[in-house]
Amino acid sequence: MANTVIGSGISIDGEIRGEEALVIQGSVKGKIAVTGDLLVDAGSTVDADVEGKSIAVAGRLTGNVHASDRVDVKSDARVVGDIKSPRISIADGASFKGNIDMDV
Amino acid sequence: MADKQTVIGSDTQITGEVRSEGGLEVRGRIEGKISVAETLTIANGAIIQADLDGRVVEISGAVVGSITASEVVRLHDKARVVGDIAAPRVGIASGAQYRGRVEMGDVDVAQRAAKGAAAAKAPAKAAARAAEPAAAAARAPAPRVASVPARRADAPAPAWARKKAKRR
Repeated sequence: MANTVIGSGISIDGEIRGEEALVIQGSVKGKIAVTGDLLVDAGSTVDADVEGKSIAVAGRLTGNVHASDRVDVKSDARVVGDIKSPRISIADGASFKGNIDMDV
Repeated sequence: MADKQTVIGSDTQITGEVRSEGGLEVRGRIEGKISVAETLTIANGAIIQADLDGRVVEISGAVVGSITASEVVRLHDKARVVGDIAAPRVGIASGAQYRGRVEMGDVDVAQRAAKGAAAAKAPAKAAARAAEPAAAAARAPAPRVASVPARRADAPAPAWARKKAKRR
């Protein structure tokens, strides 16, 4: 279980930084940078550049995604932005618009 | 812990504004502004540089900023707070360190009403007038609170603060 959970009733306007896992179920605008795993859960809205080790997206994400390990775009996700990561998966059904760069 | 509960973990920092329609627990660092519709808990170890607003505000960590609550503000024994507090009820536990001004009673509610009715001038003035005597009453005990806990953490301030809270 992640140490930090941004629940569905929460909205954050600004910057989130952390050295632990982060789950977002609410809405975040700004910037997210964690050194742990990041889950943009179903139902969430993120309007931010995100950075993490392993990033999974099941919600709506607008912004660039940079992961040091992997990015998983789940089937319910809607992502607009560039993805940069050594490993990337995009599930069938996901909507994605942007560039993909696996050459890190 | 219920998984819908929002927790800002101890190794997480947020700069900016945090709003919640439910509750929020902070163990990490927040700089900016926090407003919560329900209970805001600042856990021991948390470092907050922000104005706080909630229905119930429970503090066990370090806070620099003004605190308003529509119901109650409680400073628990590990709390370190610098900033003004406005709430109908305020509790300061023995061991808490606090510096600032306290406004208890209906002051906060009246001020909020005044703020809310800022567009309609006449009611705002009435609310402000209504707030005046209460504000004056609340101002009187404030210096005692302000002067005590910083130096003597186990001073009698918490006792009367609690008693006062109970009386309501």
